[in-house]
Amino acid sequence: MEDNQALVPVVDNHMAKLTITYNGQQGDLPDPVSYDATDGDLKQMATESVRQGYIPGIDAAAGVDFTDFVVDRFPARNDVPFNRLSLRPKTPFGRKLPLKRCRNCDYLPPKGSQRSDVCSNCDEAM
Amino acid sequence: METAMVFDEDGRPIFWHEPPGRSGGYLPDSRSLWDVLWENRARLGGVAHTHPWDGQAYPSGTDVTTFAAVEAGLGKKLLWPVVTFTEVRYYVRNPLTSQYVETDTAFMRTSYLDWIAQMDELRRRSRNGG
Repeated sequence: MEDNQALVPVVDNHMAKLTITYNGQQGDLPDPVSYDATDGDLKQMATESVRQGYIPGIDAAAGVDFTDFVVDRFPARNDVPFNRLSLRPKTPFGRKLPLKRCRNCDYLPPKGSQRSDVCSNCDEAM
Repeated sequence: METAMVFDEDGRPIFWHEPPGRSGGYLPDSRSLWDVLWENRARLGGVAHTHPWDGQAYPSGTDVTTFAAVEAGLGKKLLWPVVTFTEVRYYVRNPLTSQYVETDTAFMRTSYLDWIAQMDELRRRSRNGG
């Protein structure tokens, strides 16, 4: 085997390092994961790994629940030459206000639209 | 605009959270807010946020699940003030029921007047949209 075998990146273009934050501790899954894995799949992997105490730096926790955690995705860069995934708690507050129905033309913007004070159908104040 | 303030265990401000994309009813998920919470976890006291209207200060369903997720990530119990233009209520997790319940601020080490001034500043930033 060539000596330069060790220079082959451990994490290739489609793989990523998954960092998990839980209970004031942080650690990486020992095995690379698919960078394109869904959030649900990554949470499931993280849950099972933390339950089994498989993450160096994170104590095993039988009751771990990542339902309200989110995945940040960081593609490889020059200074960090591998893909990274980070599982961390969500941080939104408040509630999305319901969309307004226009008082002039009765238009109701489609779901997912930005709430607005001006009707996108008739341009009148909502 | 909804606005948040991260504060230390003495009730002093660490970070004013006024991200792009916030609205009168919502502060979006934010990696940068999480970074502030994680980097300051040793001295962190809690996060206050506004509901920018008059009336009672109750947390929303989104608020409560965020409180629980952040505490699970940090492994630390925090104080979660909810601030309207007319009142402030303080919430903590009840360890027996895991529900978030109203509490008083007796354990806060900041002076009452300093704390009131910070709540007024939070309201000012909320009214002005930053």
